[in-house]
Amino acid sequence: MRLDFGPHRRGYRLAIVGMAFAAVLVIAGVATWLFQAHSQASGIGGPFTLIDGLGQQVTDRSFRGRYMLVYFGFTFCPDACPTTLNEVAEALDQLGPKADRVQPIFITLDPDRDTPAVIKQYVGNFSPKLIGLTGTPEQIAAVTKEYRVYRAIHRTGPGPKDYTVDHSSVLYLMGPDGRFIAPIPSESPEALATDIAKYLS
Amino acid sequence: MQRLLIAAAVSVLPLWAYAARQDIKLEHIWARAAGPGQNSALYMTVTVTGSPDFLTGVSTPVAQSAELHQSSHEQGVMQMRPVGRLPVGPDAPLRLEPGGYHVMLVGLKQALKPGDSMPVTVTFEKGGPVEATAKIAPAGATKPPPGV
Repeated sequence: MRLDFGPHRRGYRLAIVGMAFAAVLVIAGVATWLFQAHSQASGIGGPFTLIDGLGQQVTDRSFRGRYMLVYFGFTFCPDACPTTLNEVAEALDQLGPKADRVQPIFITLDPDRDTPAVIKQYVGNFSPKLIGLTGTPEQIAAVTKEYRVYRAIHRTGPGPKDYTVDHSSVLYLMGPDGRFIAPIPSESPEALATDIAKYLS
Repeated sequence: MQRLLIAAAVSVLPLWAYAARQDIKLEHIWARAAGPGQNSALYMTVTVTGSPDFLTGVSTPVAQSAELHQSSHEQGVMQMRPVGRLPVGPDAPLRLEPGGYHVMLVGLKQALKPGDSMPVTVTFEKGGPVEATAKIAPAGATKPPPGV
């Protein structure tokens, strides 16, 4: 009895090539899915259009090529927000020349009270490097959504200006490409400087 | 004689009022630098050696108003709330510090610059008003300026 594998062999070969092709497709599919899932998981930040202290329009693209250290707050808050902004200013001083690659940005959660003039004067209290941004209520709503900021108006009296803003307090480090890198805990200027230095590759 | 008695009573009255709470001690009184029209925060430590009392309010000519507030940072969320009177007792000093109780100075009538001083009147429920002077520290300072 003679076994002829000829045509079968060709069949196997085809099957193996087919399976390999299918495997590549599956791997590519899984990789794409994983990448998308990862992007969604860390999908913090995104394009924004806001107004600086001089009333000029700025976007996230205005800061490409530099790290952005973004903090959300409001100037009406004289206790908690200044503490964080001062820590940022001191940390950047401690970083020395490396700090030139980092742009600290303060974005208001209270666009009604924080006009460009108000926010310019406020950030000037902390550091000449700090940029303060405001915008229309719609622009602020959009950027807070992208950065997943918790913001709630808490009324303290009957007047239109009697309110404070409850908000999540996070320092966001964004890369030179505008992508989110990590939240930076602000416990002290020293810890902040160490953490930022770690990410400046 | 009667007139003399009244005169004597009137003359000791302010002394007596002051003496009522001579045990109130205000220390580490400082505020953060800020520009005109802006808000600032005022901090201090209050101790009493006698009976408990309540800090009911603060006033200063440099701001439109001064309100007692409390900041809190819970589960990643910053909150600021107005509070009523703040208790102080012989075993419980009252500390107004960044991140907790503070006096919010609303609408500064003038710039507060580091190194400057400002007058404040701190009012207690039993102890009445106490005059004091606050030193100005840099905008984001988290502790009193040196020597305060």
